[in-house]
Amino acid sequence: MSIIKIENLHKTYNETQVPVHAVRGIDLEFQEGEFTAIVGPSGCGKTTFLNMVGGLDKPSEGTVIIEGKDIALLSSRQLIDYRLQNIGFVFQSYNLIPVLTAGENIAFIMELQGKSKKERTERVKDLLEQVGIGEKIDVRPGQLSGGQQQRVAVARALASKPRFILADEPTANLDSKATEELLDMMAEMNRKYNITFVFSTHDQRVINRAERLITLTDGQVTEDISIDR
Amino acid sequence: MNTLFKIAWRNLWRNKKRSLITIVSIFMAVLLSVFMRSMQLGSYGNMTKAGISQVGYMQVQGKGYWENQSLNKAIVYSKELKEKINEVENVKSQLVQLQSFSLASAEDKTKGALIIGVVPEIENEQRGLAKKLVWGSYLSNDDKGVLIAQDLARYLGIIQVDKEIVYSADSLEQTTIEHITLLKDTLAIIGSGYQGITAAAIYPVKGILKFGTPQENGSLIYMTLENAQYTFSPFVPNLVTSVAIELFDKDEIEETRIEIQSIVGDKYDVMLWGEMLVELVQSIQSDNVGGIIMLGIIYMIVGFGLLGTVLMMTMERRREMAVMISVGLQRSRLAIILTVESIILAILGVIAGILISYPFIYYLFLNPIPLEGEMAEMMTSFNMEPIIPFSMDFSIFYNQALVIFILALLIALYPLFTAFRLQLIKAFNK
Ligand SMILES: Nc1ncnc2c1ncn2[C@@H]1O[C@H](COP(=O)(O)OP(=O)(O)O)[C@@H](O)[C@H]1O
Ligand SMILES: [Mg+2]
Repeated sequence: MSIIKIENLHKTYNETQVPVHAVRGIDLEFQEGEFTAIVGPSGCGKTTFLNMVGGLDKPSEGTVIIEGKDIALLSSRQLIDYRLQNIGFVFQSYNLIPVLTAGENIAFIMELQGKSKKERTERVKDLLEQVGIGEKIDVRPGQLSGGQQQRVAVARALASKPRFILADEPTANLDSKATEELLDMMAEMNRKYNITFVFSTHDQRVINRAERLITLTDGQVTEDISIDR
Repeated sequence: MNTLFKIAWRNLWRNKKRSLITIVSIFMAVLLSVFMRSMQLGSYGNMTKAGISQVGYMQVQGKGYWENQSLNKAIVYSKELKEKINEVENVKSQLVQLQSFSLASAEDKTKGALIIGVVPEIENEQRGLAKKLVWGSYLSNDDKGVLIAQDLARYLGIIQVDKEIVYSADSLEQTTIEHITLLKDTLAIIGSGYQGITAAAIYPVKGILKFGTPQENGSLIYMTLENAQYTFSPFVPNLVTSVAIELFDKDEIEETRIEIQSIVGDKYDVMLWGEMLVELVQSIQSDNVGGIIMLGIIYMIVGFGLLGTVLMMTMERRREMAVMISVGLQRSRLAIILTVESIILAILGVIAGILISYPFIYYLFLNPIPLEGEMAEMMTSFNMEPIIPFSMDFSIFYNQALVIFILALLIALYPLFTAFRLQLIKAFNK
């Protein structure tokens, strides 16, 4: 069974006089352990699509089925809890909680999940070491570089042991060295723990690393290819 | 959950200046309102004390006497009645008076006056009557003479008052000294006594009293209770118009009243001081309303300050809130963070305000500000201590804390509402 199944997904923004059809009829399936890039020029609907898959935004039409469940049927509390337990988010602008240190940002997610203090402490250390910034555990996001913040964000996304991670242009604000390092790290997580990654990008370096490449044009899938690496 | 409080606490210090200004404004408001309230309640206490010193905590009177102060509603103060009242545990002492309106005259001048028969020694002990003496000497317990209020005595031509203005050495202050000369040494009283008999007698003038209000100053005549009883009720002994009662425990005034009323029965009224000093109670009440309006204004100002800070703290963090909800924080828990923030701001201000104002007010409570000059004289003449007293009533502090706490909760409604209504995508796009 596929981990994510998307059927006939549509999104129309009606905020202005002219309705904007950001996503127009997407059907897709993602399998466990896939490392997928959604590509396409700015404005093609990548963010809108990922937001709907992650339950942050409601489709105008169509369904998002995760592990056999239609997420539209969840209450708002259930949806938040569902995201907490199953989905890791990485945002283009990192979006760490500025008043918490790197370690606390990661521990916070586990605290929300009700994990014990001991488990949190161990896992935070472990995760920060895996993303290569173990020594930054007590530093607040404001004192970290963009690359370092995005590593913390990935560690935070991994903290809850999610089934899959949604990352919206995670490298858009990073230089090429930081981009390569982040990609190495994500690929390693994917291999090691079989975590499903879906990320959007229009960065060629990222595209080069993807194992499946989905191209969006004007809110529709125009290409879907698998690449053996 | 510990991290929620950690987030709330640290958020407050992201904009140190803004939070400090808010806290300081709450602090100032608490300080100001505690000071104001303490002074107000203190002076009410002073006024009430002065009033109670004149009428006692309560009085036993003949039924209906208070509405219609006629000698015919006087009561017989028998040994039995005295003992009955004394049996009530909270009764400390009893003080009786016989009052009656009569005509007072000296040779060719006549004027209506209120004759008050008192037990001189006790009257002075409890109500400081001798302090009001400006000429002559105070009554002894078996005195045949009378004490007359100054304006009344002057009207009747009993005394002459010469005013002398005295300047201080540097001429900056002037005081008026009144020289009193006795012109006539007897006073006649003519009126109707108990049950319609005629009351008439002549008394030697023993002394002149000066009172605070023109009304008292123009109408009062004091004599011994015995004298008054003999004049107004020669055939029914021990007649009195009021039995004033002092209490051990002032807080049990209501209970004691009920107890006394049930002991003396319904031929008597038991009046509380508040029912007798109606004007005093009303003027305190209206002053108090003014004070509360002032407090309201102060709190509105701080309230808007706090609201402004909380509004900004909420609005500038919409994106952050959206992130927290996205990664799994329930909205109800986000609401806790935001509520805690506004409450912490308020509580820090309140705690600082109370910590500082408490010793300050306590000092003033122990060392009330003394008044001098005319103000002091006026207060003394109203039987008040010439001071600005401060109250240490616990409720003054408690109420400030409570009001600001409630204010903070009300203000927290805005972030609360935001937490539950925040639209994630909109917040992200900001
Ligand atoms: N909240 C919104 N309201 C109106 N239009 C929007 C909104 N969000 C995105 N759009 C429009 O939808 C289209 C797709 O946007 P988006 O999903 O952000 O694309 P991408 O992430 O690929 O750049 C764009 O034309 C964009 O202007
Ligand atoms: Mg985008």
